[in-house]
Amino acid sequence: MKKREYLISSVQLFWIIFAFVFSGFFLGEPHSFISVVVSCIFASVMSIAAGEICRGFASSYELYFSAFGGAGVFFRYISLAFISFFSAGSLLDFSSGVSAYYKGEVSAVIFAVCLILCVFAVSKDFTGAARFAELCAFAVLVILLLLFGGKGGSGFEFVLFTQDMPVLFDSVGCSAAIFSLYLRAVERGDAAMSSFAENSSFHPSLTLSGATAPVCAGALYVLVRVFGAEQNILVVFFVWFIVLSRFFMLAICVSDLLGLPECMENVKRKRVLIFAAFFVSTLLLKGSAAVGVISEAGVLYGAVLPFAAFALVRAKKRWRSEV
Amino acid sequence: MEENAFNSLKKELESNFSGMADFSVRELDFGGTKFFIYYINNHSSKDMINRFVISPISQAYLRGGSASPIEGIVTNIGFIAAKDKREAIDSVMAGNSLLLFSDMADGIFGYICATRNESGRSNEEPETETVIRGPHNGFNESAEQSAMLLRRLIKSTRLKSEKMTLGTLTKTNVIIMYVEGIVNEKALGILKSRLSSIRADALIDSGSVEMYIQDGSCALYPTVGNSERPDKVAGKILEGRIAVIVDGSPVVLTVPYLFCEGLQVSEDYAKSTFFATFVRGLRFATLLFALYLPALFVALVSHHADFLPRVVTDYMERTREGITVSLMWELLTTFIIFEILREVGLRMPKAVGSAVGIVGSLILGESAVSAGIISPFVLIIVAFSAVCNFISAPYMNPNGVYRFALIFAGGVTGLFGLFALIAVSIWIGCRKTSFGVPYFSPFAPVSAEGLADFIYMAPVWKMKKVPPSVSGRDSVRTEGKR
Repeated sequence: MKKREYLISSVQLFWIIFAFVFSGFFLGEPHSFISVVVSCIFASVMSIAAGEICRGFASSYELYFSAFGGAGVFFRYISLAFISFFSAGSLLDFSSGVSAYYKGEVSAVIFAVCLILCVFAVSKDFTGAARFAELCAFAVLVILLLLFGGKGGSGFEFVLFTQDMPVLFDSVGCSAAIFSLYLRAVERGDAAMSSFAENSSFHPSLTLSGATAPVCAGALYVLVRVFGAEQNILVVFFVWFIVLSRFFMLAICVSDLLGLPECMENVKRKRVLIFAAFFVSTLLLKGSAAVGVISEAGVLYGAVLPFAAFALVRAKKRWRSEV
Repeated sequence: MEENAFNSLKKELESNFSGMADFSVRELDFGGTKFFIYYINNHSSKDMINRFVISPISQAYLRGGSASPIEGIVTNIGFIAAKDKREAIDSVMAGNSLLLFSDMADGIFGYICATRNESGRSNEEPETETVIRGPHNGFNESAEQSAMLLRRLIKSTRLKSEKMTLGTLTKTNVIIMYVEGIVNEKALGILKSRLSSIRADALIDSGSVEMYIQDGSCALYPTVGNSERPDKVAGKILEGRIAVIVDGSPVVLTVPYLFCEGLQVSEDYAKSTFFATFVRGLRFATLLFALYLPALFVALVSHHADFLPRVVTDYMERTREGITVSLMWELLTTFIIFEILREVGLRMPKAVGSAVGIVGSLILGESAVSAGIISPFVLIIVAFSAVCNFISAPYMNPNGVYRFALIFAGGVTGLFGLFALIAVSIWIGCRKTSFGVPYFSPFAPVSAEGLADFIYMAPVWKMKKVPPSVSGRDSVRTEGKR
């Protein structure tokens, strides 16, 4: 049985993926239109695939266990390790980016504040984090209004820069996060859906939400760059809210991969402490060449593993039906 | 009833009213039967006692009859037998009169006569919620009359009301009203349990009831709505909310209360959809200006001046020459002065209050700028933000407090500190509920029906369903327009 407080709606899914992709662009700063388009297509495809693969499963535990049996834990923790690297990298990028707006070096404080916010956001439920992402609609509205205060394009090219391709990894690379979201998402007709949500007439399908969100994120990013608004400090201020949603999403993913919503309080504490220790150790690798390699390996792993899981689950089902 | 038993009952009842100068006993003797009427002066209507209690009894005796059965004689007002002494005493304290006579049957502790003096303030338009277009009446201090005003607007048997008495000393009557089939059942259950768990000696105003039933121990932003307008409360009831009428207060509470309600005005529903949407957008923007403008200003100028246009920073430097305190303290001090003037203006008699307002805003402000204590830019920001804060009455006070925290965060830690505080506040708001309903609905979580009545306001005939964000039901309220 799905716990209602650890679920997200299709609208929330849209905004979380939107925030994930848009903030990925903002942190990675791609300079070419083509790389943005490629990233958006990649994210949309991943979302559609995740929607299909995750159907019928309520958590990462269920998905990986169905596919790999007892070895599922191992694969789940590998995903977690990659997510940890990815999250640390994102947080470091953001804190150093924000620190640039200050005269002194304050990135450590910013890093700590964001981390604490993430821990609190998902400690008891996902409700606050998911609704926070929904409210990003207002930040987007303000950004659109502020766009007209930009000074014009700032080197945004409509060609492909090969050096921009890593942005693809930064923005949507960690596909395991998208899979976790789909596992926690509910559609109309699901028994776990609240009467409030059930009675609402607006129920876009999960796949549609996930597929359109990256496109909208890409469109907004292109607009911001074309209008040169990325240098407008007010635009940057409102983008921070979207970036925070990205961190909340990663926290949701970590919580799902650790299986926190389903486990007992004492087990929960133990798992969180082990993950915290691992997360701190990933920070020690900051600045080393290994980080880049791990990130890219994580992208491949994150993209390949769920598909492998999907193939295995399907094969098992077919085998059982034949037997 | 035996004479001894009657006398002892009389003595016992009267002892409960000892030391009350306004307690009166009317003694009458008809054909050897002694009658005693207990009541409280002015709380019970002497005229009603004379017309509906004494007069019929005297006429019955004049016709050669007797006082039994008394229920067949006193017929023009509410008249019931008290089953115990407590009920008899409480009824007198509630404004009724109590009739005792020597021929009473055993086991009866007097007859309660509904002679409560209902005279009070008329249903004038509330000063705090005036409208140009719309009904010009309001609730008054009588709970029964307030309930009647709602019944006049919703003439359906589905409008249910439940009555309870709260406060061990004040014994305040509280009436809850809702429409069956539309009401949010979960919210109704929570409300009833919260009301029944109130253990207090006094509940004089609806404000104190609100403090007991609101969500959270000390919420900054309200989770219980209130209004003095019957049309507004009726509208809310028809959306699935519950009205809580407290005797002695003209302010009727409504639950659940959502954040978006602070931006809604009953007049909006009588305007064209374009104008209503425009005005609501303005209200929302104004609310944001009231809250965030001073904090953003102080954060940008104090910590991120390099990212501002040169013209602005140069002007700020010029105008702040000679001011020794930091911009944050200058803003905070100016806001504190404004809050003092506002509070003084509110508490002073009307005529003097306006004078204080003029002296404060014009003379004091002008003098402070000329003396170089406050820079004109700060004065403009404070004045604009303060005026904007009046846009939404329910949020006026919480905004005032929250704004101080925002300015402090912006002033000390710059944009990121401000961002962190806003993010935390939004996150708290996202988790907050009012009687089980998400506080930020209909936009977090999203409800299409609710969004049709938030910033964008659809025509009334297009709002086909009762907002599920409030009622939690799939209930149709209009078939639309042909």
